[in-house]
Amino acid sequence: MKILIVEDDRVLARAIADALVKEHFLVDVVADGQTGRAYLETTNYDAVLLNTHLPKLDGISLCQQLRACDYQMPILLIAATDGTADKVKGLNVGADDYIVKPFSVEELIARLRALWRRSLASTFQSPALVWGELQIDCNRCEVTYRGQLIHLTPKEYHLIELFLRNPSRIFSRSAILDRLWSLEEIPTEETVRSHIKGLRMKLKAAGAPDLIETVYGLGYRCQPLEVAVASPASKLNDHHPKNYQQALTQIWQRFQEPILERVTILEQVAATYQRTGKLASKTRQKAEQQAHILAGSLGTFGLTEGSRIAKEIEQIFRHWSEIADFSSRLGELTAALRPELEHPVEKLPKSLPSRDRPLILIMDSDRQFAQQLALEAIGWGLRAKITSRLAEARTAIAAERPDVVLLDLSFADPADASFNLLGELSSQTPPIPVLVLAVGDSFVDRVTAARLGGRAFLQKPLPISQALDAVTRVLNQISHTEYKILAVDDDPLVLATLKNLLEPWGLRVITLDCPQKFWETLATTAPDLLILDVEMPDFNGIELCQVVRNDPRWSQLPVLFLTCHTDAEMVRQVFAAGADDYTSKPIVEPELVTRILNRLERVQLWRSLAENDPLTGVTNRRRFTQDIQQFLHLAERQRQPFTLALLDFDHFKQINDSWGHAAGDRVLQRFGKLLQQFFRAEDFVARWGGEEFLVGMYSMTKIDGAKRLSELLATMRQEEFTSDSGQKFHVTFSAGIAQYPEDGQDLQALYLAADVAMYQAKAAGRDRIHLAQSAPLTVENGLPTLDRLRNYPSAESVQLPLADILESSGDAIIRSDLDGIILSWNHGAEKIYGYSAAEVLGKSLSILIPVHHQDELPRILATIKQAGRLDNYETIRIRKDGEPIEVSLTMSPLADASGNIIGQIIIGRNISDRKRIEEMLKRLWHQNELILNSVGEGICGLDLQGQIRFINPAAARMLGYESTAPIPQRMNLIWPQCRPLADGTLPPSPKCLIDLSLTRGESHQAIAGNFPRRDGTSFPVEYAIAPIREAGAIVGAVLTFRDVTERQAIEQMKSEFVSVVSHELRTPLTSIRGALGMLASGLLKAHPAKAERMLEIAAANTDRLVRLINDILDIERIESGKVSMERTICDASHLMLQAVEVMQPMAEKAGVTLVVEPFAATLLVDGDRILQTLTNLLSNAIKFSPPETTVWLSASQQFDDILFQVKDQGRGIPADKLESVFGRFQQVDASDSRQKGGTGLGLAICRSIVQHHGGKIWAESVFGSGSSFFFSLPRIGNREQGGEREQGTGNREQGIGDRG
Amino acid sequence: MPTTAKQILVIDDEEHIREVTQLCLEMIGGWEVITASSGNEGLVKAEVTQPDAILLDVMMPDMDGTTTFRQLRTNQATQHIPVILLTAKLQAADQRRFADLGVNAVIAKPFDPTILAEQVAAVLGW
Repeated sequence: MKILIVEDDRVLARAIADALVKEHFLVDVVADGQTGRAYLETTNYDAVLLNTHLPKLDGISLCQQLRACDYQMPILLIAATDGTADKVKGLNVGADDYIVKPFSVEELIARLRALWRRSLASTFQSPALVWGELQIDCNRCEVTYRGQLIHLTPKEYHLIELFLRNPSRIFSRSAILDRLWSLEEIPTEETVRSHIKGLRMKLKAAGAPDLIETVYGLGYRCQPLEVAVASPASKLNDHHPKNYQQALTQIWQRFQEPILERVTILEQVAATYQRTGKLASKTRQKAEQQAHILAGSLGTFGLTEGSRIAKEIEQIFRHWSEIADFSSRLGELTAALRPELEHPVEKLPKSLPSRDRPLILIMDSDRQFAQQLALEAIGWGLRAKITSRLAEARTAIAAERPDVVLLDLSFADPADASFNLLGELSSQTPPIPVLVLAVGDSFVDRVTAARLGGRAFLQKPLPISQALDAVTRVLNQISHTEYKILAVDDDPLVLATLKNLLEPWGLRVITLDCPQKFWETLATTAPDLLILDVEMPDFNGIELCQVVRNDPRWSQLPVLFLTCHTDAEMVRQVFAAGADDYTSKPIVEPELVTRILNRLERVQLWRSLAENDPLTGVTNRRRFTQDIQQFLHLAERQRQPFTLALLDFDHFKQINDSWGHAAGDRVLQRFGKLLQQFFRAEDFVARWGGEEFLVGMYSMTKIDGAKRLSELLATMRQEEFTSDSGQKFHVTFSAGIAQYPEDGQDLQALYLAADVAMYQAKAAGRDRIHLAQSAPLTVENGLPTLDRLRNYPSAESVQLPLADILESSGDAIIRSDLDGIILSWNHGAEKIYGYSAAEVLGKSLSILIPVHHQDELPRILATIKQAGRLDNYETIRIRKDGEPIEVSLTMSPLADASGNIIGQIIIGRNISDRKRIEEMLKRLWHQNELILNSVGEGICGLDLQGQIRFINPAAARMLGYESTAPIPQRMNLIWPQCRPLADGTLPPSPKCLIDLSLTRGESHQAIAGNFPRRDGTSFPVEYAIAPIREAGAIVGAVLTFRDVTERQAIEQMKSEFVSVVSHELRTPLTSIRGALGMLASGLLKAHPAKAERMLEIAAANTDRLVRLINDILDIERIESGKVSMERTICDASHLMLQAVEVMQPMAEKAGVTLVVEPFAATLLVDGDRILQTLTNLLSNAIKFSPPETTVWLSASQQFDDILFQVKDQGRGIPADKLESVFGRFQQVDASDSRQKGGTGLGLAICRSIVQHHGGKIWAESVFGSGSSFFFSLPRIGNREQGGEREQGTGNREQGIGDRG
Repeated sequence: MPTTAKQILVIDDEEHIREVTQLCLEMIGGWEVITASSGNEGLVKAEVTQPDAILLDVMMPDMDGTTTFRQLRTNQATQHIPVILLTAKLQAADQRRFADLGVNAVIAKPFDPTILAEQVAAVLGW
């Protein structure tokens, strides 16, 4: 135990220190409050002794400050005056105890011990340790062996305590140095060795066995004791302080005896005194001491009443002479003590074995959901409680604080009450994490829930597993102190071993068996340690390690290699790649665990140095960058906002310049503390550099963030700082706030947005907070517009001569007079018609017109004369080379200045190519139509409105239209309501997917849905939808679909069979699992008869399971044709006699008479299979026959078949079941087969066999008076009539030959 | 509240499962267990003994668990008794069907007998 004494009276301080050192405490002494504070910030002490009046910083203020920043360890105030006011003040600011000068050092130590005991209650450590006959009393720092005190130096004592507190852990020498030596001592590892040696010698001298085991190459650990002092579970408790109750119970069991012995001593003393009236002072002292110890230890075990009584006994022994009725009081008290200890475990706060599992409180008015959730929660290692009313919820929370709450918004009415509850829970200290459930997705609800501190928003309906997944995620976030280890190995077995090995140590192991996913897993999990396998496919461990080391973010991550090879070259490679350590496969548990824990301890040390800013105590930039990535991932996944604030001191340079850098540092320091106070544990704060700080707030909008920052700013304004020269000054800051995802998707973007906002705040006068503006003008939005304005060509520059345009046109532009004489002819005309201008000018247009179209010209000219025009007149013209061309002509009249029509302008275009393409398209279309018409899939073309513009006959038929009848040009399908899928979710409706395809161009394949028929019914389909694009623009969509009714029916059958088989398999498994579970629980040890019965049940059901599996495999093999029937020549009578012989014992057992009438006939069959059929039928008949009845087996010839008959006098089969008994698992009464030991597949197998032989099987029955099973097999001679007999004989011989 | 042990009725056609369930509920839960081997027998026993809860198998001959449950709910004398289904049918469609039925919970077969009692207690808030 390490204690800090803050006392300015050096003489007193020295005296206390000396006394404490004698009691084996480690002590540091400082003389003023400020230094004390600095010590407390850097070193962990188990308690603080604090004078109230101190220079620089007085004890009361220091105590207040310590408690304000959540300092947990006990503080004992030392005061010069015994004023009640001072005492009250001291205790009010958070001191645990108060002692007034002058005081005896013994009292001080006693008070310290008491404090320590009390603080134990929160950070449980057992007050006594036992290793065999070696006992360690931690209160007195004494070690005894067989009751004999062993004198140890403080270091030796601490060593022994360290080993016993961590019984299975190996400590390297450096780890021991870190733990047991203070900073100013500069020992070497050799020192540890010599202390261990000293300890060993002393133990040996006392006759005790060697407690310390040297683990070669690793360090030391506690020797495992042959007689286990602690069960494995209690070992684990050292690493799971949560198991407090359980640990207590176990320790109680260990210490019960010595405690009861002490009680006995007290009782004896009391009895002696009552008898003799005398009390020797030695006896009295011993009794007082026993009572004292009892009071302490009972208190520790939570037996408060017992502790109180023991304390009283101690008191009356101490003041016995002053107490009048000492004798009777003593008698009463000792009598009262024992009953308190009789059933201590019941008196302990209730500790179910499930105590350590996290409790989830479900507040949901949907009882069924809540109950199913509660039930499955158990399987997830959680405990669940359900409340359905508000009042009930509050009581439940008061009774036991849940670790997480699932709150349905409709839980309380009105919903506001639910939100109030949410607010209450989040504002508890520490806040109880709440996951909000809501039907529907209301944005307002989401925002409100997030504002009130809801940790996740889950939309109902949702699968139970999803809800529990969210719960465990939240739980994992809370216990963020646990170390995460990423293990990469391609061997799942190694990964599983690592998980099993390391998780009991409180290490969370994330496993990865696929090196390709390494990088993303590393980024999302941010492990504290990496375990790599050397040899893996694709990327080997050494390569991964190099990659890790090359990234500055991970350069410090400890990397441990697992390798099968430990040759020098491999070791060299491993270290060259940057590994920290390696360990060889197969994994040796203690070695691996030690290596990992050692690494992690280093990490923690390094981290506190490397991840926290030393001046302000907040995290530094590196750590923050790492954290924020994780939170941004989380925000994205959970669709939560994330707010980033950038804070910068105003005029900070001036502060440093005018008040001195020390003052500047004090401002930063104070601000760091303020930030830590103002922001929750789930927020994170970092000093980004200089006077710039960042605050990340998960699940907070920037408005909320701004509110919190303005509170911080208000506080900061009021803070008064003092310069080195004693002048007072104030400091303010400016801040900018940005929010994910609106203002940026990653840290860089968010930082930039916040930075811009912060500079706006500065520009607006500082001392204020600005929000980033969502969607600022982006570069893409702004600049091009300016460019366009600047570069737009002026109107003047567009002045081309008209003639040039005419000349350069690709179209023919021809001018003629009203007689059709060509007056002008451009380059385009030359190209189209093949004539040059010189050749045609002055000639009639008729030279261009084919003979049989010559009448066109007069008609056109007549139209023109009347000022009419012709547009896009398609006709035929002749080129100069005689080739006819298709042209499109536009002809308009040409008037002179006075308006008289003097001619025409003809603009002509060669459309031969277009016409040809049109023709091709038409043919292609026809081809396509043929294809579309003949495919079996339905195909619809949809326009942009989603209406059907084309439909192929298959689609029409499926949708209920006559394929020959005309289909409406546009039609809308009315989509039916979507049916939920197998997992309970709703599929996207076809309408919605079509819309997405039309608006966003999305394609969707193989979607299951329901399509409407014309008559209003619907049918199941699998469909695909793809957009039709033209020149990049979406013009419609193609919908293809096929009717899957039949497929679904088959799947349905298949799934039903699987369902039945799984039920049939699970039924015996349930009995086996149940029986074995009961046996394994150990509860039946005291009930051998019950245990035996459980074994019987397990065995019987195992047999049944084996039979069932055999039958299932058999029938599958026969039906899938994998078993061929080995046909040989058999005699029917022989088979019948053989079957009866097999079944005879069963019949005798059942008291049933078997009668066989053998019938001689030759068969070509698989004899074994027919025998199986006969025995199956006979066994069935026997099973269902009452005793004293008869079962007959006979055969006869029916035409070409041999007909077998098995007849019984049982209860018969109802007429409607006569066919279905041959189905799988289709007994008349399902319980029949179980009682009779059948599997429900026997008759199905018989039917398969008979059918494979080309025969038939059926049953006839008169219900109530027996049934007959018949099966027919083709007689061998039936194909052998006449001339074919020879061949038949040949067959027979061949059959026999095959067998031979 | 009287402090007598809770009474649970187990309805299952499988003798062995009845036996194992009874043993684990008695030994771990500390409850009194009555058994019935068919839906009909279960209906009668439920009405007569008025148990605190019913564990009901689904796949039973004659009258299956679903029918038995409906009848328990239509009978005024038994409609208040919480019912937990024990079933080996655990496909999604079955699950949904059971959920629609309005039973208090569904426990899958095979079940872990050491936590069965705890599960039952959790569902019923005991």
